[in-house]
Formats: sequence, structure tokens, C-alpha cells
Amino acid sequence: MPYIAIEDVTTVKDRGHTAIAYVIQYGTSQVVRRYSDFDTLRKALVQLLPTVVVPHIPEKHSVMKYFLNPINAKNDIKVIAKRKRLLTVFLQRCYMIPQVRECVVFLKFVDPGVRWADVLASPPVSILPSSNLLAPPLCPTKPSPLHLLLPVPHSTSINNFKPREEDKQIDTRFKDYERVFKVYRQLTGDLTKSIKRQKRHFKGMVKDLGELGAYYNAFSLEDTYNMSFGIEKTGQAIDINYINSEAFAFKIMTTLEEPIFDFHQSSTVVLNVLKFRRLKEIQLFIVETTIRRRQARAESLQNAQEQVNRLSEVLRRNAESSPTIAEAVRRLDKGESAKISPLSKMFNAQSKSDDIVTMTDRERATEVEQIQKELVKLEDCHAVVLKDIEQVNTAVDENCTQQFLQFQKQWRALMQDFTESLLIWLKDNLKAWQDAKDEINKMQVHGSS
Amino acid sequence: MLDEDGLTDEPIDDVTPSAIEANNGAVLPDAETEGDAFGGQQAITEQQSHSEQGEVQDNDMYFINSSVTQPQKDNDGQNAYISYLVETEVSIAILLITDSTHLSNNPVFQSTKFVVRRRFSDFYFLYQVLLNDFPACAIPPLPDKQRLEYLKGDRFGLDFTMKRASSLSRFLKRLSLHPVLKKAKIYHIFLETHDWNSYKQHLKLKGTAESSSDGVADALINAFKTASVQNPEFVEIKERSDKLDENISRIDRIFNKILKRYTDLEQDYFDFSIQIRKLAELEPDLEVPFIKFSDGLNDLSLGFQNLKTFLDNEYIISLKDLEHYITAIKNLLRLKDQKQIDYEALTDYLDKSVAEKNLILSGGGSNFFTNKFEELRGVNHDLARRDRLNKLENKIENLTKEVANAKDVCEQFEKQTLHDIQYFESIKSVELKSTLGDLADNNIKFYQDLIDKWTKIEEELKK
Repeated sequence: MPYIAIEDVTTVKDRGHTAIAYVIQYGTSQVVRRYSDFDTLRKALVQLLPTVVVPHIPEKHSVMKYFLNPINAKNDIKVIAKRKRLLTVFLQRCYMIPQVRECVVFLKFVDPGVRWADVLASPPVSILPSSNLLAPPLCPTKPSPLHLLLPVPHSTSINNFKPREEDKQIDTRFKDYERVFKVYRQLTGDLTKSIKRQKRHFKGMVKDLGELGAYYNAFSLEDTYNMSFGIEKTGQAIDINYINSEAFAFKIMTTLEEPIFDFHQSSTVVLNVLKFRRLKEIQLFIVETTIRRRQARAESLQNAQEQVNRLSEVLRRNAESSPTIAEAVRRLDKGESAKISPLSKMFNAQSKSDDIVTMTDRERATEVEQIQKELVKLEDCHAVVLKDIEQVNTAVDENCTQQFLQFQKQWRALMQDFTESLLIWLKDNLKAWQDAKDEINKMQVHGSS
Repeated sequence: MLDEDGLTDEPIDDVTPSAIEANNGAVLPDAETEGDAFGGQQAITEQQSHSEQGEVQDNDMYFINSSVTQPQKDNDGQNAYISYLVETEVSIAILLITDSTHLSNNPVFQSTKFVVRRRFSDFYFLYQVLLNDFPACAIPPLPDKQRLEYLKGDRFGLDFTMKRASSLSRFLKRLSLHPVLKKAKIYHIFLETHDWNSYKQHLKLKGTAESSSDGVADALINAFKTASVQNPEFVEIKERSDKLDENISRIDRIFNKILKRYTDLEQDYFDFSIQIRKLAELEPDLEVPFIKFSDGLNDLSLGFQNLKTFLDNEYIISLKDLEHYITAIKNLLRLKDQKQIDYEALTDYLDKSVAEKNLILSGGGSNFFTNKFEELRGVNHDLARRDRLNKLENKIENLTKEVANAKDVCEQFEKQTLHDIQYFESIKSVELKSTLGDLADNNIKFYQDLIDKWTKIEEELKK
């Protein structure tokens, strides 16, 4: 893997405004991109690669936050440092995913000779269909005309959807993913809150320890010589605790807070990918239902025609013996429909079959013909969606498994990092207190006894 | 006011021998010098001579080491109270005679143990007796009566009684380190006797209340007077005790804040531990690491809890106790000033009388109108003058004695105060060394235990 990281922060001029930009070191080349560029890159990647768990980028400033903390140099430095750190992670993760690494948009992003605005204004980004459900999932820039005919299910239909019999097994598998990632999102959300609290309390303690160390040092100055050294060392131990704890509070942020929030965001991304798969499944369901409905319609039209034919034949046969019937047959031949008895209406509750009965033979014939044509297209669509869904299922399954492995790796790293930082904190503090204790033991207590 | 203090010697003399005999094995050396030293002024001289001896050569070759533990609720119901276990070990040095003329330099210690149960009011009684018997000593104070706890009904709670036990322990420790107070018979009896209750009843503390109220009145009367001449040594002592007081109370305040932080962190790491445990269910492949990690976090939470308990029940209490002791020292300094003010007032009065006498002798001291008035009433001038002179001379004679007396008292008191401040310094340093040592030990334990546990976790995670 070539080296890829954000090395530096610079400023660029944009329509008279000065804006912060990040210098990406990629191999031997350097590219300057702004936060908004990362944002549009990610959006494009999500559109282009709907089955891929595209790494997330740090969140935008909330308007509220901006309102509460207006431009503040110190705050900005913090935000920029954090973005630098997290955008580096984003780039490295992008590089780890073959689909992203090989994606032309990504390659252009890290190419110093390319203006990002040009990339956004040209294919493939500019020709993306309005919904990625209307494109081949693995290659959305090459939609077949059939893809554009596909229905776009409303996302609220997810809850009412029941999978096909043959998909039940695979559906349970994805349901499990969904459940697990939902729990993940919930747990890591709670964890993020509790770690923020922990960090805040730690920082509070740091402040108090600083003050306490200072008081002990003042105290040591007041006391007699023999005593003062031991007191001073205690003050020093507390001072060292204070400095260590300040470093540790920062470590809590980088080893716990950010990685765990990362789990939270990654889970959200995975859930979006799973949602895409689900919508694709619903799309298939809609196509299939439509096919079934059209077929049923054609069938009932044909049945009605047959019935009409049979009826007229019987009537013709009976016409010889009855002048009334002969009259009716004559009317039928002229194309006038018979008066429908209210009784027959009662038994035909479905209004559709009503018009079937009242339709003329020719009307029926044209509709059947039309449906037949539609069905040919629908079958083609069905084939396309079936192929799509197969690809989507495999890709999403693979990517979810990948994400799980990734999570496991990240958890191990997180626990190791935290343990390491904690041990440093513990050991340095222990040393400080042991030194203090040695000095306290040397304290000479004046007076006997 | 010093003379009022000799109230309590009789009952003590009555009871002491029997009380000590009653519990055979009363090994505490008889502090014979103090036995009759309950009269205030006498006590001062005795104490002083004693401490002077003490500095030249320490004859007090015994050590008292007491601990107050195991608070327990006695007498259920309305009259319930808490009693504390007072365990005392007394080591006495026995100087072995190695040859006929020389005492060995290495004394052999013989120790005896006493175990009694005492309640807070018993400690209070001991404190009151000492307060009366040793007016020139800053008696180590008892913990506050904590009325809030009485109102809340928490006074039987373990939290409260443990804190109190640690304060009471410190009170006894301070007595054992005080070269004068450690010899007080009442203190020995308190530690030894199983007949404490009957002893206490014999020795009704009459007059305690009166003398203390007198003290208040005196202080009020002279509240706006300050001693005109301040010994620079005392000025420095006062400054130092003020600074010490300030430092200790600041440290005390910050530790209370840190206590709150520890409580928060204890909760935070407990929550964290629980949440990580939930993840173990989600990631079966990582179950073992997650559970170990979660256990480690739980240990961290418990560590903060232990550290918090130590700070709350011991360290902060020790700071509070030190603050109280400093207050006692400051009160002693104020009392010393009082003596000086008494002396200065008397001297003033004497000077005025002498001046008046001189005036009369030089023929002045009366004016035209008084002379006329006396003439009218048929008073013989010469007679009246002689009479006034006689009266004045008597007064001057008395005052001179009084002044000499007051000066003596004042000087003795000042000396004794200086000694007591030395004792305080010494006790304070012993105490600081021990409390700082405890603070360091508890921190070391906190970090060491966690290092042991987390080093194992680190190994586990690397597998």
C-alpha cells in the first residue's frame, strides 16, 4: 500500500474567500483538497458503489454549534486537527477497499493534475441516474434502458414487505446483519456518550489535581526544612499525576472516543447499504407482482372472451326455437350488450371483472395484445432485477462480513491502544508516588517518641 | 481564674488507687508529679519543670499506642449508642543492669495490652477533664458533634462511625505523643479500667460549665484589648499557624472536589465495563478479550471507589482533625494573650496608684474646691491626707504582689505555651508523616494493583 495521509493544512482562495485545505500526500505526489471536496467525493462514491461500505468522513459542523461557538481560533485549530486525523483515516480506508481504490473518481481525487470541480461536472458523476436503484448495482454509470423502467419503491414500504418464499433463507441472514448492526449502532452511541462523560470528569480531575499540587508546594514552603521535602515530593507526585492525567484525557479521546464513534458511523453506513439491498428486493417484488397482475388480467380477459363465445353459440342454437332469443342474438351481433341483471352484479364483486363483462370483443382483444407486449418487457425487467439482486446479495454479504472482520480488528486495536495508554498512565503515576513515599519515609520527625 | 480549676482533685484521689488496683496489671507508670498537680497554677510549674527535664533526658521510657476501631451499636431502642473498641498497647523500657554500675543502653521493652469499649461521651469526658486540668495546654480536640448526622438519623451509619473512629484514634495518638498529657492519670484510667462508668459517676464534673462561661466573659470584656507588647516569637508563631490553617483548609477543599471526581469516574468506568460486556454477546469471536477488558474496567471502577473511601474516611478526616488542632493552638495563643493583658492592666493600675501617691506626697492631689468642701464638713486636712496615703500604700502593696503574681503567671504561661507549641509541632510532623505516608501508600496500591491486572489484560489481548 502506498503512503497516503494528510500531511499538512494550507489555505486556498475561493472566490475571494480564504478557505482551509488539506494537503494529501499520496505516494510521491501532493494534492490539495478542501473538506467540501471530501464531502462530494464521498457522496459520489456512495452513488457509484451502492453495495460498498464507503468509509465515512468527519461530520459537518452543526449550525447550532456554529451559532454557540462562533469563529474561535482555538476551536478552529481543534476542529482542523481532528479533521486532519479523521480524513487521513478515511483516505487509508478508501485505499483498503478495491472497488474504491480502482474507482475512477477516487483516482482523480488523488491526482494533483485534476481540478475537482471538473470531475464533478463530467461523467461518470454528471451522468448518474437520479436513483441508484435505476442502475446496475455494480456499475451504475452503464444503465441499460430496462433499468430506467424499473419502479423505485418508497423507503417506507420496507416495513410491510414480506420476502419471497425462495428468498426466506437469505433474507434471515441479512435480517441478522441488520439486527446486529442496529445493536452496534445503539451500543456505540451509548458508549460515545459515556466516554464523553468520562473524558469530561477526567479533565475536571486534571484541573483539581493541578490546583492541589500547587497548594502542596505552597504548603511545603511554609514548613520546617526536614518536613518540607516530603511534602514537596507529595506535591510533585500530584503534579506528575496532573500532567499524566492531562495526557491520558487526550488519549481517552483518541483511543476511545473517536474510534467508538467511528463504529457508530460505520454501522450507520452498513445499515444504509443493507437498506439499499432491501429496496432492491422490494423492487423485484414489485416487478413480480406486476407481472402476476398483468398475467391475471390477460387470463381473465381471455376467459371472459371464451365465455362470451360459448354463450353466443348456445344462444344461436336456441334461437331457432325462440323468437325472443333470436332477437337478442341479432342485437348481440349488432354489438349491443345485453342489459345486465342486478343479480349478476352481486356475484361479481370485483369492479374489474365488471368492465371485462361489459367490454366488447374487440376491446378485449386489444388489451390482451397490449398486456402481452408489456409482459415481454416485464419479463426482461424481471431478468435484470434478478441478476441485480443476485449481485447485490453477494456483494453486500461479502461487504458486511468484511465489515465485521474490520470491526473485530478495530476492537482489538482499540482495546490494545487503551490498555497501553492506561498502563503508561498507571506506571508513571505509580513511579511518582513511590518517589514521594521514599521522601516521606525520610522525613525527620522532630521531638522524641 | 486559675484558682478555680482545682476542683476535681479530691474525687480523683479517692478513686484512682482503687480503679488502678481494680485492674491488676496496671502497668502504666504512676505519673506521680501530676497526681497532685491538678491545681492550675501548680500544674503549669509542674508541667514546665517536667518538660525541662524531658528535654535534658527523656525519662518517659514508655510508649502508648492506641487504636479505635469496630464501632458497634449497643443497647437497642431508645437508649442506643455507639461504642468503639479501644485497644492499647503499652511498651515500657526496662533498663537492664549489665554490670553493677552501668545501665544498658538498649532497653528491653515489655508490653501490655488493654482492651476496653468506650462511647463518644466517654471521650468527651476525658477531654473535659484534661481541659480543666491542663489549662496551659492545647488539648487535642475531639471531632465535631456533627449535629447534622443526629438530625438525619445517620449517626449509627457505618460511614459516620468509621470516620469518627478514625478521628478518635487520632485524638488518642495525639495524647500519647504529648509529653505532658501522656502522663495524665485520667488518660491512663480511660485506657485501662473496666470500671470507667462508676469512676465517671464519682467524678462529677462540677464547675466545668462555670469556668468555661467565665472564660467567655473574660474574653468578651477584653475583646478589644490587645496585648501591647508582643513577643516576636509569638508573632511568628501566630503567622505560621494562620498560614498552616489556610493551607490545610485549601487542600481540604480541593480534596473534597477530587472526591467528587473519583465518585464520577467510579460510575463512568462501571458503566463502561457493563457496555463492553454487552459487546461480548455481539462478537462471539472476541468474547474472551471483551470480558477481560470489561473486568479490567470494573477493577478500575473499584480502584477509584477504594481511593475515594480512603480519602473520605481517612485522609480528609485527618486534614479536618489537623484544622481542629490548629484551632486549639490558636485558642491557647489567645488565652496567653489574655494573661498578658491581665498583667498589663494590673501594672497600669499600679502605676496610676503610685503616681497618685507621689502626687499626694508632693502636696498636690487635691484642689481648691475639695479642700474647701472638706473644710466645711470639718474634716482635718492632714488626717484625711494621711488616711488616703495609708489606703494607697496598702493598695500599692497589694497591687505590687498581684502584679508580681500576674507577671509570674504570665511568664509561666508563656513558657508553657511555647512548650506546647513545640509539642504541637512535633505531633503535627508525626501526623503529617503518617498521613502523607498513608496517602502515598493508598495511591501506590491503587496504581500497583491496576498495573498487575492490566498487564495481564495486555498479554491476553496480544494473543
